[in-house]
Amino acid sequence: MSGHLSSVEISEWLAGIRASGAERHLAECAGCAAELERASEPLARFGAATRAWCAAETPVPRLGSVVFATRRRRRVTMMRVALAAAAVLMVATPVYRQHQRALETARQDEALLEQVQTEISRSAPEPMQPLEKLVAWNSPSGQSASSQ
Amino acid sequence: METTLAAEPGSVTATPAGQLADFDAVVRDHQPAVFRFLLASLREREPAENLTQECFLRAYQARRSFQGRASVRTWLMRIAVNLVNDHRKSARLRFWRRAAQTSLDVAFTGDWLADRRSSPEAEASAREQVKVVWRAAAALSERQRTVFLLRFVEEMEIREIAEATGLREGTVKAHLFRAVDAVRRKLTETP
Repeated sequence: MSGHLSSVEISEWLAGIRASGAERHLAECAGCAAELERASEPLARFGAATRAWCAAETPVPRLGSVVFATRRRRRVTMMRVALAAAAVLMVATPVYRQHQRALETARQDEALLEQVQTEISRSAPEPMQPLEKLVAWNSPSGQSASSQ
Repeated sequence: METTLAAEPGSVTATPAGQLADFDAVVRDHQPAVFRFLLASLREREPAENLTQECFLRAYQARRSFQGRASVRTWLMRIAVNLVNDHRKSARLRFWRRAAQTSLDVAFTGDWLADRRSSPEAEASAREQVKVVWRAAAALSERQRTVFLLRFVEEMEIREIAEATGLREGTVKAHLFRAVDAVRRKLTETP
């Protein structure tokens, strides 16, 4: 390397770009080493001031808060699932009951219909049935009745 | 001149899974650095706190995918960098925009210089220098500012910054060079 470090070379050095020539020169040239020191001071001060400021602003560590937050999210998820299940039950139960009621009504209707069918299939009303037996000999099938 | 590196917190074990087994310890060891980076990037306490929490939540949820190729700190910083990028996309980086557009006098920095033994003049000069660096940082591109903060606030190595940002080392150096050069020019311009 010819001459002293340029401003750009000092910036490169501070940025981590380390040319071997610059390294050799810095080892030999007290002036450039001092210049580099001067250039790095504001950056070091900036870092120190920022760290100090941030340290004062840092919230009290909440240990386990992450795990707590995760558990809380899990709890919220479980609550959502439970609420969804409850909602499904709330909707499903009346529907099921209504369906059961409809089935029961259908069974009752069927029984009633059967009863009506039985009633109307008789040739005479129930109170007159004994009389029907008495006049049975007049019927075309009277033969069998008289033979009894 | 090489800046000194922050000591890696050592309360975790060697295997990737083991390093995250005690997650409370991970939070305890790394929360200050993650919060610091987020606060320095966002300059707003509340979103920085929220994103710190979000960073560890994401890390916790992704802990099984951690393979230990990078350190836990670098891995967390990568999550934090992504959160800052997401936050930026949502157009909420009000501070930096304001600071870049106006000559906002940064409220904090001058009062946090550690060395109080120097003369009042030297102290005033140092305070002014820090403010100038802040203003210059405000004018950097997002990417330049991120690598600048990771380097000079978090004191991360170029390799670590590359891992945290997903950039190649050469690209990190290029961004860092532009950032440092811009900051130094600003310092030279300031009387």
